[in-house]
Amino acid sequence: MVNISLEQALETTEMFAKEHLDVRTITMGISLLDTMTSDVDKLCKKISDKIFSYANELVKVGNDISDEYGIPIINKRIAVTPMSIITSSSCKKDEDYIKVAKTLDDIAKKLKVDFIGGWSAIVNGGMTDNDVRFIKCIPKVLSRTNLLCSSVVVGSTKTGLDMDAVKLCGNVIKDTAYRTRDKESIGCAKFVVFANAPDDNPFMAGAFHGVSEGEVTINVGVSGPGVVRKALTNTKGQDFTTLCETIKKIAFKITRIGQLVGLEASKRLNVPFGIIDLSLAPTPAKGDSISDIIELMGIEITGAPGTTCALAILNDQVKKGGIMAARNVGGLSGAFIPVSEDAGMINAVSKKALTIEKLEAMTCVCSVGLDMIAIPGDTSESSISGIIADEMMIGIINQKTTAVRIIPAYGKKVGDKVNFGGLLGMAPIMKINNFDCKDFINRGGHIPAPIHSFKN
Amino acid sequence: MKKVIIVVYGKDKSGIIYNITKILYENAMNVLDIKQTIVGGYFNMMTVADCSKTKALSKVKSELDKYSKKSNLSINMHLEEAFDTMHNV
Repeated sequence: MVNISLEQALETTEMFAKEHLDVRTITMGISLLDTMTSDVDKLCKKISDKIFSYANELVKVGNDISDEYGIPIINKRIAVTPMSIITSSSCKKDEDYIKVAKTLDDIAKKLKVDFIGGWSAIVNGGMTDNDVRFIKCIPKVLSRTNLLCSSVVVGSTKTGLDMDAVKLCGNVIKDTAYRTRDKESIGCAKFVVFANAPDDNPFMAGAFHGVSEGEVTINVGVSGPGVVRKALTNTKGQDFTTLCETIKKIAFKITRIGQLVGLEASKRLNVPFGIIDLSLAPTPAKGDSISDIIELMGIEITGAPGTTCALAILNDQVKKGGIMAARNVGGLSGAFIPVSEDAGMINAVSKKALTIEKLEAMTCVCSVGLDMIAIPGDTSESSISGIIADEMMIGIINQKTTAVRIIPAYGKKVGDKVNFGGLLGMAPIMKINNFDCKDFINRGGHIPAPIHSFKN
Repeated sequence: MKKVIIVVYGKDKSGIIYNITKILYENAMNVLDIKQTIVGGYFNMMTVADCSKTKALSKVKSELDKYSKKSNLSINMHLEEAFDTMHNV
């Protein structure tokens, strides 16, 4: 007999129907290492053949599982080996890169996946000549593709921070904003700069299939801020032990759903199951917000004193609850704090309670970093590089993943808004500190890896 | 045995169980268990059914969706594992 009570059945269906519990993404990671060749056209053909051979059924399987289990699966995505490596012997000029990028974009369109990630370069130890060419071409690539996502890993705790790459990324972001100015600079929403990037992240824009990964894997990203929020509505006035236990229990339940979907997708696609990314990823939908959870804990509005502590509790308890529910945990795992994708965050910014400096502090304890933040279009390249350098160092020193996905929205100033639509949401333009850091960024070179002892 | 759980809630009215079990019967499902209660005029039900012989769950889902809209009830169908993995270790 089925060992489920009526109350449990109602609880589960309400999570899906009213509290936006979903599997945010099933991401198939595919190694393209064996497609490398010195001829661009041959490379495109080999890439296309390989991705189609593995991912042909990805969307259908995702939709079937969603229908049969009654579990919403929002995105089906593909991540490939960092393309700076794959294109290194065949692409010598911008047109070559664009040809390969368009091939990936077309594959994504034909397969009807939501995004394809991996237009990436890993340069935390330094850039090769190919890497420099590849990174410089990113703005052109992002302005001429729709579903392709890009990332650059500029630092890690083991290698330190490549400041030449940081400087270059400031330029890439500004140029991308300009080249996609007719669409609210949306290209920048598909580009992220990382420190300590995981090889198995299923979330965009930073997903790529790291060179340490196997031939092909299925990775799953779960979501569910709305479910945590609902669980916390009954804990008002209760102590922190109760608060932590409540989050932990609900995170366990959310993760079990991700585990079930991942295993089933892996079985049906005949592809090994990789990891569950235990993430709370908000959406612009009402109630599906990390900010709302922070406020339910007793903070008047996100950004007020206590916010960083509240976020740290959430992030840690989600991991503690999720770890036991999943066979293999990886990716970014934790609470995301994007601004444009979270109605509560947008509200906090609009009311001037949440500043970019407070967001930076919050990134010390969240799962990633400065995410989907729109800033004035006239922000200088060096200021953007400065913001990146600050955020990367937080990750490098504290041995965590950090990232910057920032949009200097062309022609916009503080008080304006950008509207990307869909999961990317809407963002008010945030004020940033405009004092200069040009001489610091222009030094160039490499900042050595930090010491791993004397943690004060 | 492959099982689905159908969860129904909404304002009580006559014929809910009849209409739902009719859809299940017409799609080769056998009802194994029904748990049902009415609180404050609101109907709550969980039906467990064997769907081993059912050809297309998507067809059942669309028929249930149709009745859901017509009757203004919330009706959700999930394979049993969705509940089992969440609530039982």
